[in-house]
Amino acid sequence: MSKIKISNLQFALTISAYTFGVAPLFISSSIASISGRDAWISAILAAVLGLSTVYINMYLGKLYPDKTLIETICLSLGKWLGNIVSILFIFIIFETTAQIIWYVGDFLTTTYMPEVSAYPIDILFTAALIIAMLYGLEAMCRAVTIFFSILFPFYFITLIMLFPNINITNVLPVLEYGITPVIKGTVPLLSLCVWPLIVLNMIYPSNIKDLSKAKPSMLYGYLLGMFVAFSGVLMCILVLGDTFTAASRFPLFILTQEVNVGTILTRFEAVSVAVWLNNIFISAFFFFYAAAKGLSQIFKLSDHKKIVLPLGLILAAYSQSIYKNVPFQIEWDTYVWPPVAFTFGVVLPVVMIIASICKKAAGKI
Amino acid sequence: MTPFKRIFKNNMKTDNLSSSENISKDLDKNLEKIKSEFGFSSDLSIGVSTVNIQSSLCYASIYIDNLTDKNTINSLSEEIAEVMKAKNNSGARTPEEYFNLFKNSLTGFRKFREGTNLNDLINDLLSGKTLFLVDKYHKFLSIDTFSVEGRAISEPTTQNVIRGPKESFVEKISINTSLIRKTVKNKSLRVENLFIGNITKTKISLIYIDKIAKKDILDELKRRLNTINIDCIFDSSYIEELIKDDKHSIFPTFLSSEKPDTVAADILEGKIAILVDGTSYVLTAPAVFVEFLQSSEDYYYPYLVASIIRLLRYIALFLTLIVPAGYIALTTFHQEMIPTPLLISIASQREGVPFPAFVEALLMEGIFEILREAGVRMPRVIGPAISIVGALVLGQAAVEAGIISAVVVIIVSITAISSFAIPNYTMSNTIRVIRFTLMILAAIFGLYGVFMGLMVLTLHLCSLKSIGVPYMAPIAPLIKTGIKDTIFRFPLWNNKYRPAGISDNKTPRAGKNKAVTAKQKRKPEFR
Amino acid sequence: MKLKKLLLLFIMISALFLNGCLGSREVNDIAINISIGIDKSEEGYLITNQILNPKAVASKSGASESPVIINTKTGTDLFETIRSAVTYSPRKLYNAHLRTIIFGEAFAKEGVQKVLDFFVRDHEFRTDYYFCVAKGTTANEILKTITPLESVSGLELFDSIEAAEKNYAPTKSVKILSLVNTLLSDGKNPVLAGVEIKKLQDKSTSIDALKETDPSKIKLAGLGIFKKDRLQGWLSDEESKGYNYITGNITDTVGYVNVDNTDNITFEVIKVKSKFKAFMSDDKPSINVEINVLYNIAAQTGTFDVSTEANSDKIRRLVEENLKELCISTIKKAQTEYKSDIFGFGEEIHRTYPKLWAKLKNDWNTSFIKLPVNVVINAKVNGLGENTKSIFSKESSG
Repeated sequence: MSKIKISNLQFALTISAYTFGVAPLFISSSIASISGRDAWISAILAAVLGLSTVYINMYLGKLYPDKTLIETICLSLGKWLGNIVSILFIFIIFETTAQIIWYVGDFLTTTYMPEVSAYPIDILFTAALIIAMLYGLEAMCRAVTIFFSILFPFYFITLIMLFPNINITNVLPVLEYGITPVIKGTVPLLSLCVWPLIVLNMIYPSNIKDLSKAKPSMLYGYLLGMFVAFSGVLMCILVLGDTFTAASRFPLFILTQEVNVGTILTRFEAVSVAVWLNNIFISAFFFFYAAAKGLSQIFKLSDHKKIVLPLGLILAAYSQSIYKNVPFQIEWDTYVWPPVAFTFGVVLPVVMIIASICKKAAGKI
Repeated sequence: MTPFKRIFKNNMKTDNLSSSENISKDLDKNLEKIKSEFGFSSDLSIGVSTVNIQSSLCYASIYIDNLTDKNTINSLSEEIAEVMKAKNNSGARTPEEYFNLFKNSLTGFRKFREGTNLNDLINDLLSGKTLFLVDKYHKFLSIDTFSVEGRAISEPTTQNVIRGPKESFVEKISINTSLIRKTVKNKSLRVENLFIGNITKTKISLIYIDKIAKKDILDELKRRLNTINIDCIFDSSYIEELIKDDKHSIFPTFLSSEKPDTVAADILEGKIAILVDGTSYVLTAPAVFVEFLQSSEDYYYPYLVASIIRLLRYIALFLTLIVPAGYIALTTFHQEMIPTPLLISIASQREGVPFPAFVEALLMEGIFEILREAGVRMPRVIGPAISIVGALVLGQAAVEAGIISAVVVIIVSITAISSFAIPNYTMSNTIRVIRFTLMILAAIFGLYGVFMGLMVLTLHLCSLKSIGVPYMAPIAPLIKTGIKDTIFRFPLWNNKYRPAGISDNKTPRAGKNKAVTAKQKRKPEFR
Repeated sequence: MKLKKLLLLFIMISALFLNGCLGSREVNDIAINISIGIDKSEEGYLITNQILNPKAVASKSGASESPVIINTKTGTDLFETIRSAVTYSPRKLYNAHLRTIIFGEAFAKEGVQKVLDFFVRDHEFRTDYYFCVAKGTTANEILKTITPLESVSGLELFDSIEAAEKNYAPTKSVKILSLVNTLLSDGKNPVLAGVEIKKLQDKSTSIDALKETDPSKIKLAGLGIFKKDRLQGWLSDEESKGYNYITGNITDTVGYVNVDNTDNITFEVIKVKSKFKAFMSDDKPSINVEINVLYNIAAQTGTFDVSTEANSDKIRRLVEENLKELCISTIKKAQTEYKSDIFGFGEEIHRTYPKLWAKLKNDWNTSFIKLPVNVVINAKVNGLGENTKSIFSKESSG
């Protein structure tokens, strides 16, 4: 079986879409609620801090080229510990996939169809996800290029059309309450956008066509994704104001409702929804792919596509009960998710790197 | 179904039995054998005579009446008579000598062959050749006398153009091949024949240019053609359906064209043309998505104009996909996204309309599709009648009666007009089907459904391949040399290399045009 | 066998999907709510919904039906009262195309903040409608009035606020976003456009006017000044213009100056840029307002030669004086009469002296009364229109 290989451009765009991923609609809200009108500084800071995570992931990928993350875990941590950690990791990823699906249903029932239950919406999303999984990684990565080239310009045109609504005084005075809230404000962005990047190590060294050029493309992709996140946060603060942003559940959605250029160029929220749906679909795909692929590797299955359908059916049902309600989700995202993401996104790779370096050193002696 | 299959299978078995059988030395036996193989078919014409009055040595000429050219047969028989008159000079005595006499004197410039296999003999008869058998000799001589009536070369029926060559392929494969040969006068042009169809034995020609066509693709195509196991091939679409990469996809992955210039251009890009006897549509493979939105005329207009026209086609494609679904989604789910004045006017038109917007749109789109289908099948004379019924009765009367709102009629018209802007008829049919799917999704989920539908559609397109070449090729995966001829057509001199995924020939095909020197540019001469 | 399984799956899935259809609503099943009026009543709220009758609005042949349906309801809870309108009409109220929300004067005086959360939280409301306050009347009265030009008063209000703000600047369009943000900030108080009813004197101007039940006209009436969320009083048209000069919210307006006591010169302002600057004088914060004005000469009544440099300078000084007077009187009115910082001076102090602001912010409106404000106008003439001198200036020059 020939391995699927992804070109560097596709990889960079995938990373950027994945980085921005789940977050765009509500990330500004959670940052603004912590760091107020300095949320945009938090976004820049998070991007800089996140670089370390990217480098850790790159280093990890370099240790075992041709191996996916799950194989790397098993190789570096030993058979028993490795398998336990892998299964925990896969469980967390799988749960996140269900959470992402829940977000979709929640958003659409909140903003468009409050009369409808989220169930059919989630099922359609899961069905699309399963179809995408069956079409495979290669088709998805190609599709990312197309999605990106269509939606990304639209997103930026939308932001540009918001320039007349900018109120520069919304960001002044800068750093009124010192640097502490700004640093705290990086946590939501790091935990939602940066630390989950470890999941992409399921494709990073093993499925990349030209490994020598993968490093810059990973970096560019990451920076592009963070720039998109930053621009969203900045525009939310500039146009909506920090308190409004913090209080709103989907600030970017409200933001795009504000577009009003001439009399024709109004009602652009469909664009923001399309961008978000597309990004969240890409993220969900890679979470799901990592879970299915990882599971198939642990159980030594020949093809992960065979377990996609059953896993998908579980997802569709699981996504309905993953969060009790919206307050539960908000609490989970603020209190539970950051430590979990930190453990698996930063601690785990560092431990793995140390373990494998020790192993190599021991092997030499 | 099954009994038929069995009968055909039995037939094939008898064919197979005689496949390695050679003809015998006894002429009578051979003739009996041939007659019984053809079941004493009435158009099998067999003439037996002796070589001269003195000798008792017999020879036979065999041909099938309706496949042969009467003039050639007549001149052949005249030539034979002359040979027989002059036989004393030749001094032939033995059957072998007579056979060689025939061969030397009759063939001339004619296409001929000799053989011993009975199966070859039958195949030759079926392809319109005239056979000569000499008694007591184990070889036959076949001379090409094939001729059937066919259509003259005319203008294309589905790919109308205003600028550029207007001739189109016809049903005869030899004429089609000559049309391509005539355009591409190069020794590297290769024509490979094979016969597909267990019963029809249809002639298929692969035409490509050596060293420009990629070898992997060519080998893969040949391999797939060889695996075909079917009774008959009537049209090139049979081939497409049988060797497609994703057999269940509704997208065409082979480009069919009835214009020799299009096919020649494709061959020059490294593609392979598949000609099928009996159809005026020639397949070219591999084909990528963007080609289905290109027309040969794009290259005959100034590149800026052509680019804008192409862009227009993409917009039309988008409109015909989205407009009805968008209308349903906006009017039943997202009224907040319609500007207030427009919403008021839609609402006032929909006052009193008994159907939901989805049913309304589905009804009108359905009726339009029926109208279109009827328009294709019906005799030309009735055309105006149908359009009167369609436009007046259904459109105007339905709106005036308040059954359908006027907006829906406008929506259907936009969709219909846009769908005709897609140059490839197969693709336009595909888009029609997808449009209805999107409408259903829009009725259930609103814009969310439409968006998810489009996303899955994109994924499907990205997963498709045409003989191993990604369907969305120059765009995803991005190929820099190919992207110059997708949505925009770059100038001919600028579009320097052949599309990388399709041809592995790296020599440039165009260079900077030097016809106008800088000096001439500076001083335009007006006289 | 496989086919049957697929069919079963298909039926199951489609049954699930049918649920989605329930969320849909046809255009002719919704009642498009154009305007909501909120008044005080004994129970709590008196809500007036102005619902569009699309048949009458869009039809080409003159309307025999009323273009709007007025729906009035009293209740204790805002949303419940709005929703209960369904008992009056067979259609579901649809709020996404809301153009205006009108507060009754009495209601506005008691505070408007309590109703705003609903308009932000509910998914049907967008953010593009304007808020205004009924001056001297109730919102109910305003919405009941049938207006001649647009025939839907809620729509007309929206358009006239927009047109007036762009061409004359006696009012200010306030959307929910800016209203909420202003209420949230400590250093700025909101203003809302005022609306009043003007009875038409001449009832027989046209047949249409006779047809209408109550031939009167809705007129914009300056700006209502709020302190926090409570209405304090009103600025006249002229003062509202002054307010817009100070906040730089002018795209186009006109004014006039008197030269030599005889000649009225009208100037059209085409660009205004204002800048606040906080500074400390005697350990007390002060504000410097710098307004840059670019104007054209639009008209003159006499024969004053506007084309010479010296005269142009004279006019410029007059314009500056005129505008300065206008701005200072507006600020004085806000400081002395209504004691409310509607300009956002507090915000500027917040930005410049964040530490000082921490002390001031709790009682800013009292400090505002004594805040020294210095107004500097920099006017600049741009063009003279299509004339140079006055067309009647021949005699005087000859």
